[in-house]
Amino acid sequence: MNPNALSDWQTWAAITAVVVTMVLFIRGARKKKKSGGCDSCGPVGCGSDPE
Amino acid sequence: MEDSTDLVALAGNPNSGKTTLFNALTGSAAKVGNYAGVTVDIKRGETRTPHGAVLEIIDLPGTYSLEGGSPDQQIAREVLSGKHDRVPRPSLVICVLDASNLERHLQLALEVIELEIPIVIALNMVDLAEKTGIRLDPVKLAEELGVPVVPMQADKGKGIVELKQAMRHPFPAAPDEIGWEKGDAESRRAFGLSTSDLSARRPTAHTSTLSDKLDRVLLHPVWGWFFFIGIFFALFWSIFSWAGIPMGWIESAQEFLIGKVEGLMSEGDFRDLITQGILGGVGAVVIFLPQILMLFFFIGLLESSGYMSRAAFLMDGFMAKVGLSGKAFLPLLSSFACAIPGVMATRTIDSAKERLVTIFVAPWMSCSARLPVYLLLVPMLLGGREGGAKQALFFLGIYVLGTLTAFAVARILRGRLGPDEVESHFMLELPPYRLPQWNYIFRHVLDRGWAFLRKAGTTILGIMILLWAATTYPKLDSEDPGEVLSHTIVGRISDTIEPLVKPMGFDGRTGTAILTSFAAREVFVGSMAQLFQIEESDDEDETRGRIRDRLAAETWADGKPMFTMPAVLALLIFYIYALQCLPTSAVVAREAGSWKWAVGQFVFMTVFAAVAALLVYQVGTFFSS
Repeated sequence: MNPNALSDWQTWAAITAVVVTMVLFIRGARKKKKSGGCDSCGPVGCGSDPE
Repeated sequence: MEDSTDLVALAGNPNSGKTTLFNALTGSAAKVGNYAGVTVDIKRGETRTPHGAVLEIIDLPGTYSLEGGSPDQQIAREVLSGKHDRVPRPSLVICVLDASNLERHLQLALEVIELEIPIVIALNMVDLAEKTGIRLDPVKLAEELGVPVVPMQADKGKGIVELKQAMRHPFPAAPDEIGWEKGDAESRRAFGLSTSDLSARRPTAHTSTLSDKLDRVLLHPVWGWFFFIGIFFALFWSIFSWAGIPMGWIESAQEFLIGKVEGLMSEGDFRDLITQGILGGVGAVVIFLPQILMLFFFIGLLESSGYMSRAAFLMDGFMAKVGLSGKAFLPLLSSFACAIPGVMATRTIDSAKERLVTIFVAPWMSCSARLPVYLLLVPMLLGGREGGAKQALFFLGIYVLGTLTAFAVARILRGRLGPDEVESHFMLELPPYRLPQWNYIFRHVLDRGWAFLRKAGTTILGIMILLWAATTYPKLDSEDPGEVLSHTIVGRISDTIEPLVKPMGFDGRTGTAILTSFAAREVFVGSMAQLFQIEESDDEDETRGRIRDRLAAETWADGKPMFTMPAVLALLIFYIYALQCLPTSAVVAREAGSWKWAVGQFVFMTVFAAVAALLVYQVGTFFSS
């Protein structure tokens, strides 16, 4: 059997989670590029609003 | 731009208590420090007068004068004169003056009065002034200036109601006449001195305050350094020693959750994603939350008590030797928490060249994102568990190394950029020692802790999910875990980059973990947890989350240990020097006004880190073999 076959619900769920994460990352990066923001700075953020 | 009817600006010298007053008026928790330069941007908030009117409050950057050329002075000047492109001219200015330093703080108030804008003087920290024997006469001050004066203690909330009364409509008109020649700095200075003599009489005999006595020791050329090193050593020792218990709780919670998921779900990809990717990867980062909280607590304590200004004073002579003024020290100090506010704090520096150099070296001050990586690697070097004076000393050494390298590079860069066009002046204020403002410290610590968790739940979670997928797919029907890993995306990347990173003592998986941490440094710990778990997945009894044990047992194909002392040291050196933070690069590009600086800095720091790691590993291996 092909080990990469989408044979059970767990594989489907895992692949869906990965795809959703990728989409969110790409959307987040686009949004950040537009606003010039720095939401994810450091582990802590600096508390300053992006200009 | 049209005048706003309800915009109130807070202006004042650095360390006049402006941000404390802003917080007291608006109920926000903007960062407060007992040292200059905390506010480098404009903060906004709202307050209500006793009559119910809503006023918008803006907190301008602290400045000694409106006439200087640094970006923070420029912002204050533009806003107050109505020339800022995004902020309308305020209807009222609250000028915050430190009652203990009236003669100097008055100069800014006089400059604001010259702008013919309604003004209320908030005579702050009257308690501290009176303690030093100064006899204040706010009524006389109001008479001399022709504007309302409200004595207050913003940190204790005293005088806030009276200040709000003074802010009611109609706002007090700007004085018709002024007692000095408008635009004449000398006349303004003379008027300020005579006014402060009349309204804040100093005792004839100088009485030595507690702050004076403490400063005799803490600023002593020898004892001062002794305490400086002692204080920071104690800080790291406490972080190591006290965080062990809450870390154990987080680890137990992580293990409990993994056990629960494994009990509830049958074997499969989704279960692996949750247990190995999410709980294993994110948990490996979250476990360092107690240390992050403690670091910010101690930084808050040192800032709030007034010791940070003393640290800046001690470092000033050192800064001059590398061609930077004391003004560069505070941005560099801020960078120990996070390089982003550090880079932004360079706005207080007048000289454009000095500012660029400071921006360039700021990321070498070890920020808190590096903390989880150091906490993973340092105990491996010292062959023991977490805690102990040895590790605290080693930690102090890491921070000193980053700082010294930053200074050395600053010196070289400063020499290359040539002399300044304008002369830079640095005035360091040594505020009296105060009891820490616990309320603000705890709010600040909670804010930072929450931001860390938010990041763990978003960016780090995302990277961990993607990394799990990259270490799982495409699958291979084989019993050999090494063969299975080589077949995956990560396995292929690892094989490709291994020849590049092997001279530094790293295998392909460590190289991949480094690659993933270019998005955020803390990711390295979670990535290592995932990447080195795979081959051990058959060993169910092994303690989860203790990736350090696992790394210590790793070997190369020939059976030689992988994480030898030179290899761990090289890894540590790489993380001390590499710039792995995209948001920092974005802020550097904005503050330096060019992406060239940001790209140049990134390339330089990464190459520097790689070469340093290579040297450390090769030399270390040569001597240890």
